[in-house]
Amino acid sequence: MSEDTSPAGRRTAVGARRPFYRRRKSCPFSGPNAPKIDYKDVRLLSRFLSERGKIVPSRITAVSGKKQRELANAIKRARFLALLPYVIAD
Amino acid sequence: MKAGRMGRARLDKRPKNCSTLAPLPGAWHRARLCPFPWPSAFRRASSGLSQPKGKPVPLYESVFIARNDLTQQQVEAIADQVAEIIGATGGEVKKREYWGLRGLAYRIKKNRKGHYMLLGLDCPPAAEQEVARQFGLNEDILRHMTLRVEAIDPEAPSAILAKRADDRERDRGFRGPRPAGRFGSGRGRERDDREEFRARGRDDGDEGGGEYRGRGGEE
Repeated sequence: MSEDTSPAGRRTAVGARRPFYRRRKSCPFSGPNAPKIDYKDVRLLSRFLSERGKIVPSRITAVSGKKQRELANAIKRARFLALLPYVIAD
Repeated sequence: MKAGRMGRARLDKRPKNCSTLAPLPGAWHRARLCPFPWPSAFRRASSGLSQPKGKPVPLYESVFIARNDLTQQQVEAIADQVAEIIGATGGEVKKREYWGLRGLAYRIKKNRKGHYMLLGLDCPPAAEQEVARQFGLNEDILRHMTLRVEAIDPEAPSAILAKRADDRERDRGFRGPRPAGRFGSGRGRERDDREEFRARGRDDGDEGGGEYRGRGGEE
């Protein structure tokens, strides 16, 4: 949202930041040209899985509640069709 | 309230004795008892824009996985059978997409690979049920799933195929959860170093430099 400076510029300012500052996040599926959640879009969905294959909670990914439900549904469909794993065992 | 009910009645041009009308939640909707909106497929049908009137035909998207040791011709033959069943009930297969022999994310009936096929169906629900029954009987089919969809685009390839071609330009906006600690100072790293905080590795190596991965530097 408030990305007015370049990433490199923000990085230098990190030292002067308050310890509990959190950047305002915005949902990656809202707004114009946001990707559509689709169970066939494996590459998109796999970004919202942890390295174990679990669905990453929305407080980490900043997905809105509505979209998180949609996303969870899509991931579960993709899992059923063996497009995504249920668990990644190492 | 009264006016709305009148409007709905005028919109609905289906004959009163239409058999497909009977079991629908139409009465509920007319009485404003149903908490859910009028299903779009029936709305589409009753507005008479794309469908012949009096025939609510939903759209389905069906994916099935066929066994590894079939040939592509055999998979196409299964799809032809489906088309036949659909055709017999007056529907049609609007889209047919062969995804090829893909690796499965886990083993299904001792198979590690399977032929994926996507079918876009425009058919009455009974035909869809018959197709699902046939899929269940067919031993060459490892798995199948049918969903009702709002629209089928017969031309555009679905995401699974499109991604292979041009994934370099699109979807650069969001790179998944950050693999850093929660606080700007990097504090809380130990406590928060749980598995769900670490994003899976990107499957392409062309992320623009290290600035998005700088741990503790971004949040």
